Amino acid sequence: MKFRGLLFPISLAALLAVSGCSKDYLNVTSNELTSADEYFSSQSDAIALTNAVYVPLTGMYNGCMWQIGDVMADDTQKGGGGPNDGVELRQLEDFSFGSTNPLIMVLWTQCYQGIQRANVVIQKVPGIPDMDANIRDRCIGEATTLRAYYYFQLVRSFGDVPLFTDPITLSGSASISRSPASKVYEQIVKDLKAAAVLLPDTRYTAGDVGRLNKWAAKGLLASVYLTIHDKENAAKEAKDVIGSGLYSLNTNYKDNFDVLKENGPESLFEAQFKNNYENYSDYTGESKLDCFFAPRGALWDDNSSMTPSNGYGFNIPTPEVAALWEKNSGGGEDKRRFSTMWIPGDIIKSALPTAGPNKKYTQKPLEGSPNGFNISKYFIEFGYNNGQSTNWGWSSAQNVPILRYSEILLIAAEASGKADGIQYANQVRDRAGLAPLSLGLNDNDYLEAIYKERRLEFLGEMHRWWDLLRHPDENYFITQMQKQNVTPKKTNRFLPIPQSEIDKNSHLKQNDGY
Amino acid sequence: MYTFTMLLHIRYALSFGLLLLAGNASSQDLVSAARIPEPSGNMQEATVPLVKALREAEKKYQITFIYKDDALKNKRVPSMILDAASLETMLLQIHKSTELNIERTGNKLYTVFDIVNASPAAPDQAKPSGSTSASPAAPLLPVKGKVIDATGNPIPFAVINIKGTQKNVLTDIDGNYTIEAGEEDTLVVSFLGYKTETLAVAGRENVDVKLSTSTKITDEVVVVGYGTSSRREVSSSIGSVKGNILASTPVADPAQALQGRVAGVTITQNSGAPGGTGGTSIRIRGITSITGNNNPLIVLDGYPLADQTSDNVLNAISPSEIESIDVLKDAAAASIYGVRGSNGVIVITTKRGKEGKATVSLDMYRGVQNAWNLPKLLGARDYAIINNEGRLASGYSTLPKLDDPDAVQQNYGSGTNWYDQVFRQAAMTNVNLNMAGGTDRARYALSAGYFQQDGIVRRTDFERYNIRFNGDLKVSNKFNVGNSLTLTRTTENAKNTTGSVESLLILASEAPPTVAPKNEDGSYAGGTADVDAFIEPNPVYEIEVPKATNTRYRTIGNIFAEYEIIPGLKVKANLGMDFVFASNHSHRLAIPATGGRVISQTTVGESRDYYTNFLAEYTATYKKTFGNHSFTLLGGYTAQEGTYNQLSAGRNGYLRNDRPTLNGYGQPITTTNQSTNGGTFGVGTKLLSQVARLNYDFLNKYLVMVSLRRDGTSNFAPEHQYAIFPAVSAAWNLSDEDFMQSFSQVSNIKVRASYGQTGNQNVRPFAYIARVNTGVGYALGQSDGYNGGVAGTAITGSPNTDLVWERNQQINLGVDGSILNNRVNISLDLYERKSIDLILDVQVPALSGTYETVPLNTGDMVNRGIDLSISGNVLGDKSPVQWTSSLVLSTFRNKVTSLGLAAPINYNTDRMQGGGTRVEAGQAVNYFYGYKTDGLFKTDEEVAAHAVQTKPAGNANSTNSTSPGDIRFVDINGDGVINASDRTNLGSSVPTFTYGWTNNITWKIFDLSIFFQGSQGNKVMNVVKYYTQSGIGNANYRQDILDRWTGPNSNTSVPRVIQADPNLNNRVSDRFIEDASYLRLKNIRLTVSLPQSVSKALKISKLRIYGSIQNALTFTKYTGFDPEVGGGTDFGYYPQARTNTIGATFDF
Repeated sequence: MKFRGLLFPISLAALLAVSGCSKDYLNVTSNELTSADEYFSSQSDAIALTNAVYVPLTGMYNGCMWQIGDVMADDTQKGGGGPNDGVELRQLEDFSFGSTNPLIMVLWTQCYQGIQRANVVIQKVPGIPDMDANIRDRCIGEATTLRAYYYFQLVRSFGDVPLFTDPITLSGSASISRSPASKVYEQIVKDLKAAAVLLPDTRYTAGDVGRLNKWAAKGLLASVYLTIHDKENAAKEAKDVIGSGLYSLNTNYKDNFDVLKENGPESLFEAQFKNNYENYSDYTGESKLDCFFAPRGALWDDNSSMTPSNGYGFNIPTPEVAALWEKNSGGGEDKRRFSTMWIPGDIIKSALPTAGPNKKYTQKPLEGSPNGFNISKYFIEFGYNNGQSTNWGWSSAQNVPILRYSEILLIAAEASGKADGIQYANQVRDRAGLAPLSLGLNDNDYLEAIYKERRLEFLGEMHRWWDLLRHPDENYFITQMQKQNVTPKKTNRFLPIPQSEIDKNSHLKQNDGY
Repeated sequence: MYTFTMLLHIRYALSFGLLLLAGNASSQDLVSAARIPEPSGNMQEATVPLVKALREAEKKYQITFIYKDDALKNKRVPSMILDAASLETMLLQIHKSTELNIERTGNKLYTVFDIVNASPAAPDQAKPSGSTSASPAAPLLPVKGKVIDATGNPIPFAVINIKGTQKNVLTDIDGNYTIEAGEEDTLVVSFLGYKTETLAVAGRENVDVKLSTSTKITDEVVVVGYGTSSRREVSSSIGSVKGNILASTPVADPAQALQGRVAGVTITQNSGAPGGTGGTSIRIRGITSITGNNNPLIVLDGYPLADQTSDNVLNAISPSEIESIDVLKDAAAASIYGVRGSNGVIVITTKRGKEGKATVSLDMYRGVQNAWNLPKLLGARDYAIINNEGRLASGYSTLPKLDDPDAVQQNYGSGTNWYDQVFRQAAMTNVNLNMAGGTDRARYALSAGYFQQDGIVRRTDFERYNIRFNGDLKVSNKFNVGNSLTLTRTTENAKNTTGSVESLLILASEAPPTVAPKNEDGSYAGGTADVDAFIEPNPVYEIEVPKATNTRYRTIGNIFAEYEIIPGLKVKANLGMDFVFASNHSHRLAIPATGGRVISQTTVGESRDYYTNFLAEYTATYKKTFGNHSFTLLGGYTAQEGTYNQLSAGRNGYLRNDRPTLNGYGQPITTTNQSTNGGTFGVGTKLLSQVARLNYDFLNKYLVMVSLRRDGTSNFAPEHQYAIFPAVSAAWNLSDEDFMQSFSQVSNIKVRASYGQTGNQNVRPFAYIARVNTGVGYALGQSDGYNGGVAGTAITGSPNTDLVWERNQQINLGVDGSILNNRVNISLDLYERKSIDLILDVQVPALSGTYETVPLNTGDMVNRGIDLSISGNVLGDKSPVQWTSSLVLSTFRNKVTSLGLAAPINYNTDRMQGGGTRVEAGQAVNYFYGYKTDGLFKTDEEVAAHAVQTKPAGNANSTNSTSPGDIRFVDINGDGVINASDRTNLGSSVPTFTYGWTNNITWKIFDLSIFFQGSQGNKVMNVVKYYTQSGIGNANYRQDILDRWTGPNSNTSVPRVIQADPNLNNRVSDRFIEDASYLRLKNIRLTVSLPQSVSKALKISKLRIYGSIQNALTFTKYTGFDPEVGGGTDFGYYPQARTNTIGATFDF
């Protein structure tokens, strides 16, 4: 847009009079128009593009994972302010959802956002000049792992889904069809294997803490293998992670859910959050779980409110799961129980020495939580390191674990079979203060014991629905859910493809039953 | 008028020499000394005998010349005269090359005078032979008299003819004449631009004559794209207003003065902020775009101005500089501007110099402005009563301060009148100096102006300085150059009067009368949370503490050169530049207050905006006449480019307040959050275009125009940058047909038809580019608060590389006619305009991995309408009182025919729940969308019988649920529940019709103009009513709340007072949507032209004194400040003032 005095229009005219028309004249550039085509040019661009591939995790863990993983399963019930508070969540809870359920849409949307961003990284980053080879590999490895992760969430939830590994165009997204689940799993395994080669085999430090490394890719691969019943490979991948020696169980289970001890020795993969100060959004980087899961109307024993403006009290453990806690060998309760869920009468130690005496949790029975239960894993007591959370306003900085070392151990335990695997399960039980599993269990009981261990170890961590689905007995999710007085249909194994997507792409066929 | 004044000036220039020769000019006295020009051997130009030229003209224009053969015998004129664009031009050219003068002396009759000899053609030898009836033999006596115009000024060179003869004399410079006439003779007095008068001598020795101006529309010159045309030759739809009408309105913005003057142009003044800075929305023939710009293209002296998205682009131009405004309404007229023509084109022509003696004119006025309609609010005692009632009804305790209304009355009297605190009487001043003149080689027009207006809201004002220089230079007979140059500076001190939440007028309407603006010690007060339970900002603090000054400099200039290559073929180059430099400064000083919202941290903001625009335009015009056929061919090539750049910065963190600048005593910025809003912005647009137009005219009766424009625009993807916009129009001058001659009542009639296409490129420029979103950060690295995490970048929107301009197709049928000997002129147009390929935002498949909507050419809309204008001389030419009146009427219906792939668009209303405006296929664009009410519930039984309106959490009672006194909302879908699906169409802000009625009444030295303007059928959502009837946050109420439902008082439409509002009485409903039809006596103005004796004594040629009242009367049922609300949703916008002005115009 440079103008060179009056000569310009005159010479332009002369030029145009001769040439008829100037093709370049209408080319306009501006500092406001950062075109994607021009953007991918430096190492920092590559890193920024890669960082964005993680971002859909925050939307998912706020907006659909606990709703599908916990509430829809038998671990928790909806809670909140009664039946009409969160109708879309109640539909998941009682299996009355249809193809317009917005929570299901969140899962679909966020996963495809992640996949598309990963595809862009995988396509563009190799062509960026002058990059450190290690950073280049790392970026591509992270994107590839995340792409596999997002496809994994889709395929195990929806079954057949559209599969693409190059950036999709707008018109492509309106005409692509679903690929068979087996093809999707094939791509996931291929991606995770490739990523494991590209990613660093060490843990990250400083500003890179929270990125995926080789062991996270292999850990996810173990989980994928377990889901597709390839126990041999699942065991192998899990044992590779164990053999790396880089991970260990936190001595104190609660440390997995301490906002100041995130990305600790047990952590392979976490959704990273920050406090964004009352933004009231699922999509701006903060966790809303502190606010959503905090006890509704709960008081301390001095009648003061636990949270300045009340929690919402969603995601309430079911009485059935609450009854599963074992007494430990010393007669006390499972060490994980208090750090997982609250029961009225719990004494909560003051988080800060200056915050006064210990307080007792007195939860009145509510329509949403008749037993006064609540998930405590994501609660940040007011006053506890202000800056990590403002309690109200969906503004918690606390991460959500996606893959913990204890899950690696339990995958190894399940995939290796009792003889070899029981040692791994017992490491997890030992930390909880529980006695080792009996060597006398038959294979089926052993599997059930592992299932129960997973259920309690990961209660409130959004695993259960998919554990129900991957059980060798394909009707297991139905029989289990019947204990909660609901009977899903067989077709409920897969969620419906969001209707608005089918409206825009007639090639997408709906799942049976919807 | 144009032609007349031009000739008048020529005549003035010649007058002295002429009169010396002529004395009391009568044909008998003339010394025959015919001055024959030298044969033009030294001239290169081809010449033809003058007589031949006149014969050609007689054929071409169907007229007759009267002249003396021998006087003209040897005269020759350049042959190019034959190709003159109009008769007027031709006559002017004949005059210039022969020094003969030609006047219209009758209907289609022109007389050629030898000016040097001040003689018309000798009567006895003149042709035509058709008028040779001999006068009866009678003694001839000298008859004397004076010819004057309607204001009493003499008309020199008027022609006095004795009827039935060819005996003519001319009046002298003072309008006096002497002619030898018989007692029984009849005098025919005529002068171009005036109506011909016929008077019997009847034995008188002295016959004075007054001539009134002719209003024949076909004499007008209109400006079309890339040229001018006579009104008679126009086949498209063009509306025109002369500058003197605009200048007679005391406003800064010509757009405001244009309101109600042109049929088909709907103008809404968005705000009464001084200087028109609040913007004026101009809509020509409806609404053409949903998501894009609806502003017309403005062409100033041939320079198409860039759209700056703001509506007040015209307030840099003083109305007094304007010669005329022509509005290109139909697509056939606007299509020559192609991709910018969809919203119509406003062509502004500024005044240019004319050949002749220099004229100097000084105009100045002073005005005083007042708010004329402020809603009545409650005083302190009533406020206490109502507020207590609203709190008790909600189950709250009353505020201790207001507990006892009688005590409140004692303590506060009537309380603070917040409108008095906000409004004031304000002054305005305007001074304009215009100078113009020139020779046949060089002409100039200079003007300088100053305009200052204080706003009726305290501490708002506007000031403008403007200078103009327009010059024309004739380098040779073939080569002309010229320029236009505008320089302006405007300065505005603005307050928040447009915000939807904290506009000053909302704050002043809300603030309780029991709250004081200031404490006794002079410090700021305001509502407090604990005592008043009212925490909105104190309006007085908001007026006096925050400051925003916007200064804008603008230079618009162009130069042009025109060369005639061969006779009839002219090429023209036009180069122009438009620079805007705007400087905006704002600061908010941390000044303490004991209530309201206190500014606790001083902040300063600065921005500098630069708009640059360049134009290069090359056109060639070729005119040719073959017999009865005449052609005008235009070809052109233009390039235009514009850029907008902004630099902005802000900061806070000052140690002291007295230097609110960015550096503030050089105090360094120490933390990152002391610096805010820093940024630069720049975006450009380029256009590369070719134009072509052919006008064909057969016998001056059948007119056809075909035009094409090819536009290349940088706003769209490289493969979609070029478009062609065609148009065609035709007209038939029916009245020139022989068969029409028997309809003597019809003086003129022309029928027109046109079709054309235009485009709108001001919709999402550059949306075709796939942009990256650099704000997709992730919290890696143990991050916690705001600044935690790392930056991330993603493509969150899909590009649409196929995006193109919106298109518009318009059909127009029109008729122009004059009846009763040109006494009444009518122009009627019917049109249908289809907007197609409207750009709307479409949701993308989530599968694409992006979430931003994508703009798509989808969606259609149609506007159908009628423009009607009627003007005429009400009392007839002969009346001593001359009353000209003109009525314009515009009506259109808008309908969104399809939204294509896009979903209906809802625009919510700030602060109000449940609705706003909506765009939906099958309805008018932006209709009001909300609940329909059906009176109030009178009993619990009525509540129980009706659909469920509220569902309280616990047991229903009157504090938490629908109760008697609440509004009954209509269950539109009949499902037994009142919810969002019961919302419906509550009307539109688009008027059914708008009108303007202009009247000029002249009697002797008095000239009275009365202008009514109005709008019918437009609805306004009165958000101020919402603020002042709902008691939110313990706000004050309008007085109509006193008629609220109370139980005993149940015959009312005002619901019960309850602050908690469990029934949501305050949701968007027809309760707040009012009929805002209005009729306004927009301007009444009386001008007195002082008699010549007075002006002569003052040594000036003319002095006029005038007084006017703007917004004198408004008739409306609307209950807000002002029924004229831009956009239709009234957030308490700055109301228009009533302005009383007095002024004077001096002509030297």
